[in-house]
Amino acid sequence: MELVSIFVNETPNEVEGIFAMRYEEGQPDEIERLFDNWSDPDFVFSYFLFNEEFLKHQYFDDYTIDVLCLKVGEEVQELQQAFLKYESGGYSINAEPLQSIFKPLAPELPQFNEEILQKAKLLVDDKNFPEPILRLYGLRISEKTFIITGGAIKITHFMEDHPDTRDELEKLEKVKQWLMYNEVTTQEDIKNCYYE
Amino acid sequence: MNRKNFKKLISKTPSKWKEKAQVRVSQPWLTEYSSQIARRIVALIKDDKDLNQTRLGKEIGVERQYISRVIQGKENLSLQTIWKLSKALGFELINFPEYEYSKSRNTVRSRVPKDEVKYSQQVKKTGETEKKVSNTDTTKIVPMKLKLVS
Repeated sequence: MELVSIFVNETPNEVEGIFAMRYEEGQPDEIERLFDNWSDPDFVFSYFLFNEEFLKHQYFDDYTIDVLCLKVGEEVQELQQAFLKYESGGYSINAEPLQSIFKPLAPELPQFNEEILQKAKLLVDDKNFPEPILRLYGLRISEKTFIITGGAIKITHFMEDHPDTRDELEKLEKVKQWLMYNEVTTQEDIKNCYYE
Repeated sequence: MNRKNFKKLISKTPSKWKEKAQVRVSQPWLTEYSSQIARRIVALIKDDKDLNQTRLGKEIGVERQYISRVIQGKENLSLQTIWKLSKALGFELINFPEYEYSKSRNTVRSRVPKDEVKYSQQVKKTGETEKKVSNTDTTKIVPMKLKLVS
């Protein structure tokens, strides 16, 4: 396992930016792999076909596979544009700092209150695309340092409900352990997060 | 965060994401057109148990690897190739809108303002997306018989 720089701002005192995991030597890092897969019509079409049963029970029952493929195509273009913008402009040019575009994963959200529950219910009831379908998952190890551990086409409400997103949870944990083993950081300093 | 230890974990082999993303983002119309055609070919191959990439390649006189690149949306297809694929698949991969020209009105009906010409069906974030119109199998594509002269 190793870290790959995606876009990094390195000063004598700081190493800030986004890194991605490369799990095996000679293989693409997670950002390259995911952008390739999500831009591949064969991969995306086959993914939805394989997961047809999941689609029936979640938000996407009303949509054809072709429309879902279009949605993925649009989102991956937006993601790539956003990454290219950050890569070329750095933190100072972009209005939204990195730390605000990555969101904490559910277990680290504050206690659910009535308002959040109400919003969640609206999302479930809404048969239109309730949220972005593509997700990048990662760890935040300092204020402006993120490590992308993976990503998924998210077709279920909870990560535990689909084998692919369950794998992503395992990858988050695996990388967390690896960082601690290499004495980069401590458990308390690592936060799970996602980007959509 | 221990920066010294962190830096030890950083690979010297760079990511190729940027070069690839730049190509895909610089020509979104090509990405979209290729993808539209690719999805239909994939669906047609999956729909026909006697058809596969190798056989389709043979029918149009190319290697399987070329078909593989086509269905990954990596080829800028010529009109001739689209025609050959359409013929082999029995399915019109591109369609043309009807138009009507009247000399007296000096206009072509069906013409739309240039900025309304879209290369794709846009999926709007407002939820105004195209919905399934029937309960038929979502992957089923009914091949149309072509009357093409070689």
